[in-house]
Amino acid sequence: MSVKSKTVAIVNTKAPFAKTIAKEALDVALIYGSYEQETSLFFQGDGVYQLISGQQPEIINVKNFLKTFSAFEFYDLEKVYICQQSLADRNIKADFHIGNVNVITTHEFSRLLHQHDVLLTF
Amino acid sequence: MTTLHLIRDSVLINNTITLALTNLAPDDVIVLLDDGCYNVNQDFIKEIQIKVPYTQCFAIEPHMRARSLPTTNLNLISYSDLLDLLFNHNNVITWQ
Repeated sequence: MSVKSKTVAIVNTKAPFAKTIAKEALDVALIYGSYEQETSLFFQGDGVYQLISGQQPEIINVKNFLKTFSAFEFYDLEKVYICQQSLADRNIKADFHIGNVNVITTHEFSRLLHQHDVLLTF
Repeated sequence: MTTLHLIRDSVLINNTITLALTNLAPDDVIVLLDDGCYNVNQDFIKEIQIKVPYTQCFAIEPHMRARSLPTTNLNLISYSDLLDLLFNHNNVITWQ
C-alpha cells in the first residue's frame, strides 16, 4: 500500500546575514531535497533580501551560503515563490541571483502556502 | 549632550527601531549597521533626515556593500570612523 508523502513549504521571513536562521532554512530545504520530499520555498517579509543579486557576505566575514541557492534544481527544489508585496514594501527591484523564481501576489502566496501539508517557518 | 544612535535592525521587522525617530535631537548622529542598513530603502531614512542634517547620517560601508544596497542617500564610513564617533559622543543608544 502506498502512502502519499507530504508536501513541505519552507517559509523564509528573515534577512540573510545578521542571524543564522536563513542558513538553517537552506540546510533544511537541501536535506528534504536530498530525500526527495516534495518541497517548495517561500520568501516573504525580510526573507526576500535573501534573493537580491550582487550581495557579498564575504566582506563581513559571513560564508556566502547564498551561492548554494543556484543548486536548488539539483535537489529538485523547483518551486520558489516570492511575495510581490514584500518586494514593493522594500523598494526592491525583481533582480535576483537565481533564475526560475515566481513573484506572486500576497493572495496567491497565501493560497499556495495552504496547499502544503507541512509549513516550516524560519 | 549629543547622542549617537546605532540602528541595528530593519524597521519593517522590528518596530522598536521607530523609537529612534522619537528620540532624535537635531545635534544627534545616526549610524546604520548590520540589518539596520536595509532601512536605506525605507521612508524611515527620509524621516530621519527631516530631523537631522544629511551630514549627520552614516552607514557602515562594508555592511552596505555586503547587502548590495544603494549608497546614495547617506555617508559611508569605516569601522575606525565608527570608533571615532563612539568616542566623540556623550552617549550611545543602540536600537535593536
